[in-house]
Amino acid sequence: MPVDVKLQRVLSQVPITALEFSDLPSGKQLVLAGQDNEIEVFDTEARQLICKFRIFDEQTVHGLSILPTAGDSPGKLLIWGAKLIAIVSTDGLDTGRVPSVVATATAPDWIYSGAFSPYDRSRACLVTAHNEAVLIRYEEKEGQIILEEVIAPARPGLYSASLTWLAADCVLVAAGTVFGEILVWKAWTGVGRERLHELLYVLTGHEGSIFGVDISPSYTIIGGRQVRLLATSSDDRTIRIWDISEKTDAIEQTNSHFSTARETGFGGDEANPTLGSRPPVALAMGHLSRIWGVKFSAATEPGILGTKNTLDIYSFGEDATTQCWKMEFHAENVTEIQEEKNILTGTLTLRGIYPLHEGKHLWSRAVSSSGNKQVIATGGADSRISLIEAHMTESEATSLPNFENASTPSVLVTVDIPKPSDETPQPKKKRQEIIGQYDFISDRELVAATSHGRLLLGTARAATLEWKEIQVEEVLHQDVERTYVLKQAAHGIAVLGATSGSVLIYHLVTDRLFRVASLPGKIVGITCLSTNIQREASGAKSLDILVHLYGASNPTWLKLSATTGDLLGQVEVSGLDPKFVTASASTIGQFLMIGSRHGWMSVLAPVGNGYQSVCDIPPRSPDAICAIVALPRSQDSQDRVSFLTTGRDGKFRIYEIVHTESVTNLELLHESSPPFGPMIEGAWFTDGPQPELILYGFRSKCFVVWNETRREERASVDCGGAHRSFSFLPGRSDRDPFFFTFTKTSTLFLYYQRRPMYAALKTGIHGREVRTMTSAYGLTATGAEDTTIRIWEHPEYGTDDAKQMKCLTLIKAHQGGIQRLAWSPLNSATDSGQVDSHLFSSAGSTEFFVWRIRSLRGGYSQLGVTCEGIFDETDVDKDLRIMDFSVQPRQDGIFIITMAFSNSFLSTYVFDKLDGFKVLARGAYTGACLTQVQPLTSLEGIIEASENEMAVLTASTDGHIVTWKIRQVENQQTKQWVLNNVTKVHQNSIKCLALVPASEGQFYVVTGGDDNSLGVSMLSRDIYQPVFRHVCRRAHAAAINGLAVKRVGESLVVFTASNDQRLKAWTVSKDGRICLQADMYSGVADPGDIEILPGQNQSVALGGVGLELWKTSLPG
Amino acid sequence: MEFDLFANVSRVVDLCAAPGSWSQVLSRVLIEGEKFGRAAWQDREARIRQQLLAVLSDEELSEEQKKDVERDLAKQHAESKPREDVKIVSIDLQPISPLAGITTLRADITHPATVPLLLSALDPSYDASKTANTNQSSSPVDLVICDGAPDVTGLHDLDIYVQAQLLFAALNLALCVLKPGGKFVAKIFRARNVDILYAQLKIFFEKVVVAKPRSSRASSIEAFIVCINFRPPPGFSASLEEPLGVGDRLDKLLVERQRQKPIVAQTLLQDPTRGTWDSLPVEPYDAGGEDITEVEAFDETGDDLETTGKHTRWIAPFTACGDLSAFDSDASYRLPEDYVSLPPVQPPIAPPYKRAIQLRNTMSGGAQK
Ligand SMILES: C[S@@+](CC[C@H](N)C(=O)[O-])C[C@H]1O[C@@H](n2cnc3c(N)ncnc32)[C@H](O)[C@@H]1O
Repeated sequence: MPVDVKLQRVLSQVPITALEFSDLPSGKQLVLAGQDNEIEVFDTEARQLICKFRIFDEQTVHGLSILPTAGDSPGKLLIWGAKLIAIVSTDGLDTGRVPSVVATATAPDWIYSGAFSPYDRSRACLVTAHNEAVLIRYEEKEGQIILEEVIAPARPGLYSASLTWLAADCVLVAAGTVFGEILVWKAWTGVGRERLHELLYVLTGHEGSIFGVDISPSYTIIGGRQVRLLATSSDDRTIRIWDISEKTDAIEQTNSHFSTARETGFGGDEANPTLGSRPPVALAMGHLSRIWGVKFSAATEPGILGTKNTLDIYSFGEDATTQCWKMEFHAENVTEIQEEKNILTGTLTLRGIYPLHEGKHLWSRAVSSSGNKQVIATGGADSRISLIEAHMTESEATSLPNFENASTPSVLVTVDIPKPSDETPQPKKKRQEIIGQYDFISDRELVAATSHGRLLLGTARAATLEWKEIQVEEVLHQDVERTYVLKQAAHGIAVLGATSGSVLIYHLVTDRLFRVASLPGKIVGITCLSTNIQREASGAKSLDILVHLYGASNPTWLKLSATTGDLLGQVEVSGLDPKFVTASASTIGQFLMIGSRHGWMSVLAPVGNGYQSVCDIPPRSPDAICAIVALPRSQDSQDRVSFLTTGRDGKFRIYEIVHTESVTNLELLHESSPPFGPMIEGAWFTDGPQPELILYGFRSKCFVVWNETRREERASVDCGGAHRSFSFLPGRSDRDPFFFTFTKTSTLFLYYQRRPMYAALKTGIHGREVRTMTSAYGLTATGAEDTTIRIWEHPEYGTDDAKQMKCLTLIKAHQGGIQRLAWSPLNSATDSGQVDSHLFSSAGSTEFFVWRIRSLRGGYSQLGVTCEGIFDETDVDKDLRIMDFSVQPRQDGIFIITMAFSNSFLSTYVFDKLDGFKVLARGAYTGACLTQVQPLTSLEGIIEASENEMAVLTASTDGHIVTWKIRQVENQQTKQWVLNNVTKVHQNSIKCLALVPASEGQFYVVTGGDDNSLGVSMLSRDIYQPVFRHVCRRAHAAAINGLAVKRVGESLVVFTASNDQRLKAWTVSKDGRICLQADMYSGVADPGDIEILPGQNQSVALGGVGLELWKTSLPG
Repeated sequence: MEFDLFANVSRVVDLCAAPGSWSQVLSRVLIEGEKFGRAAWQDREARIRQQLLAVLSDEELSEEQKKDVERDLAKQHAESKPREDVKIVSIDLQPISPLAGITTLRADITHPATVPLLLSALDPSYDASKTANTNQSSSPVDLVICDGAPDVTGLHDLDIYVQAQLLFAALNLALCVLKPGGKFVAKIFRARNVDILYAQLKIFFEKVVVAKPRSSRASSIEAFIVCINFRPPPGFSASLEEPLGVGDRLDKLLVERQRQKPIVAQTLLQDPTRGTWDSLPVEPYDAGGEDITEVEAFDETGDDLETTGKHTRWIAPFTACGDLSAFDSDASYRLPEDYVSLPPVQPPIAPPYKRAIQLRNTMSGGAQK
């Protein structure tokens, strides 16, 4: 029965290679993004995809330029990719109507830049990688693009180019060469012109290739002078700004510049400066990496700088950051320039760094400026699209007239202490009054105690804090003066602990301060147990507060009325170790969980009227546990109780309480580090059906709020660093406005964030090439060159488009790029839909990890990941690489792991969580690097044969497949792998391989080679000898890097991925006949692996530079 | 397929030569007259191991054969003698430190000014102004090598394009300086559309082979294209105004060539069920011996060959070669005892950002703080 295979791409996440803003007459703002051969349209306000449409058949979009709607004339898009050009009408784009490509054409060469003429809406110009200006005309009626002419003063190879229209018949071109020279020239078009081109400047000085050039609009600077600037960025890590304003004496040396024999490489001839060169206006060093691009803020003409005399400039680097610069002209020179005496000079200052992407490139970027608001869009190699709202400094913000309504995303101000009112007696000879303890008790009210014993209530309004003094009764003065801790106990309630032992309550609604307890000792700490107290009244009846007294490990538990703050009673807490110093506490289920300053944890269970410690958990690090937070619960959490801890060791952990009649213990389900820390001060889960985990803490000098679920930063405030007093009141969601106060050099600062400065229009994936994939239990794990492993939920898709891939966890532990990943074939979770299995990973050098992956039951849908084993074989050369490995679980839960090494050795280990890796057998091949290893004795999963009858198959860089058998060696513990059979299939490296059982005691070995060929060999199962070897040469035009095989009846269906960017499907019949079934263009460059994802419609995942999902016509 | 690149070669242009290891090899082979037997030696080492493990059972190496090998080696050494009329010109963007007997030039090979620069280096009497329209060297060379690699950006599309442009720039220079019958070796990226590139090179050379060093760790897409027997189409001359790789000159040539010499598949296999034809052109091919059955895939994609045109391309035969490479760099070999590694000819190239770092250090309170 012939099998018929069809392929259809349903999802693609590859680098974003083009971006542009489009402001519609309706006021709506869109972002158009080029991803592979399609354009995706997003609404920036709703942060939603509106529609997408295909531009080219088999070509990535590299750039786009917009001609806005004007009157009756609809807007148009000029789109290019490599040599191809397309024009699209933007009519109805915002309504989601998919526009059609109205015309296409091919330019003579690769295109770097393009723009419609603002003077004649039917004309456009493009600049190619060989310094050519290509003029085109769009014939509306015929729907045709006419290539009018190609103008070039000479054709050196370029690394960047940019253009702007100066007049209906004149285009200004800036071009950056590979060796650091910048050419600025004019192209003249149309009839009756005197000449075709005019070389204006040859700018030298950069010491590396020019990766980015941007021509500014014509600006009017102080003194009324018109200037036009050029910004350039280079391999030499510098950004330079040049004055390329019109001058009358163009250098007419085009001919000699390009045709005289001269050296053109790096390190120019300093004695003979190039004609037409001039020093830059300003120069700055940005990024600690290559700088791919640079952009002026205002893309629209004409720009008037007015009195500010400054300009915003953005640069984009290989470090995947966007940097914001302020360009300030030196005023004296500006006036002098009027007299044409001096050259323009200025300074570039760095104002902000935005690290929002993974990987090494921000392929596309766009800037939108309107009024005071500037938004920058960046598209990365990680397929993410970010929006950044440019920063405004404090002084800039406060100088705005309508400050309260200002649209800046955030404000940072200092707060003064109010003068004491006349009635309060002035204590004499005291030191200057400062704010001591403080905390927010509602979303805008803050209670603070001063060093002079005053208690203040502050009401925050964006950029100010309005103070009011709280009346303190005479009898409480002493206590307030000795306040040691001040904390929010509930919405509108503050609790104060004094060294006198008094516990005071401030109740906002009644504006009352009163004492609730006098404890025998110095109060050194207070921990509030009630959850969710930061927000409004939680509905709980009581407030629970642990008060810590100096020298006592067991805290005093006070129960207060949730409405009035009055004392209801006290709960006995006992059994804590005398050395235990509480740092955090929370009630989790029926238990009280306390974390110590030294990393210990104690589980306390209700006993009689009190709570008693029933179990102490030794520290995983000696650093304090800062916060304990219950995991959101849901239907399927059943009686399982889990919670999360954050610490000063840079990690957060998730535990489950294991509780039976006889024992109570904690099981670690997850441990990982967010990209900040090491001080992770707290965490919360957002409300809603899909709670997200938000962590906050410090990263060097900044306070950071981080959405761990989405892996996006929500705030970053320069506060001087950790180790300071601060109060932070998170909102319900992580995008809500919030206040953050902190003390720096004895001054109180107030930070208000209206909305996050960043947003993701599209979430990203790996920043570098995916090298390996493995799929099981509805989860696909991907390992990439960026050293991370991600685990994805299988996206469901209907008839049309797939959803975005949803990442359930990210593992960052390897030092090198991930080489191979494999799931254990066993899932030991007892209930359906849950996962409890092992994932194995290998990376550069000899890194190998064993991961335990479990579903976190309850309302938080991410996965728990813990490391159960690290390969640390000492007699293995660290320069070696583990090229491949195979894992076979034994019934007793032990794993047999065989590793293939780059030095031609083969080693098998027995792995057990407690004992680690023990050598079982070793073998050596000819010296060629082994690239693949597969077990032969467990084709169907769990190991059947005893370890004495094991057999494996390897493949290597010499193109051979080899079968091996294990042999016991006398008097030696370690067994030996001996060659059983050697079969040549490929001319050199075998890059991928799959084993599939066939009928009649045989199995297929399908191989993909570096020699572009596909091999299908049949081996017998008894003696592992070949029955036939078939090779299809030139199966692809380049190396085959990945294959996946599925048996359908008696035939095989093979999917192959190659560097030639074709995804092919083949069928192989029983007798080895190979048929090509499908041959599709794929947008994934440098593919590393291909996996079949089981499911209703079998789909194929392709990973490389990006990820693609293809629906197949195979039955599930 | 093994190449002896240096057979009958005395005049060479080495493009993208920094830091200069190839130039050094050229100098040792051509000027000092050494035999370049390193690769051969290592190949044998691996072979002997394979024999020991009986991987190559059909090719037992007898005592006699071993002696032969030794004799060959000795002969090679004895033969060492400098060649006559040696000329080596090396070009790179980066400065190359001087090597005895080698002319080194610092230039961008894509820049038009490099053509006259190279021509005058090969022939000091060359005068650009006089020979205005012929960019043909009066003293041509036997071999042009280009090991150029772009500063990779990570956008594979662009990197592949820039790599191809380096190749075209090298080819353009080769067209100006190569003797008929000469050789051309250049680095290529075996990736998307590489088949078009192969076909384009076939216009100028009789034989085009992709050679992949037995394994190169750097990148699986890097390989060398080895073009043998230069024979430009009649009437063709290199043009500065229209360098190769720009415009559709090559495409036209390709179409022209295909018209003259239609690609005829050696085997045309009809699929009995669908009636479609397989039309992959088959070139005589070194299958690597043994009893591997080479199969042609039946094409069932049902694409109309006329319209897609995708099968009209030609994929160069692939060969794993030992000569262009030293070791299987994927493997961690123990080096043979008498292995002499070539000393580095010059210190590492100064990175373009060297000055940036110096500047940063001197500028206190610099931008990055
Ligand atoms: C892989 S290295 C060459 C190594 C050299 N063959 C050797 O054996 O030492 C690639 C070289 O290409 C050079 N290159 C890249 N683009 C170039 C261009 N446009 N013109 C000249 N050289 C270029 C780089 O400067 C670099 O030195």
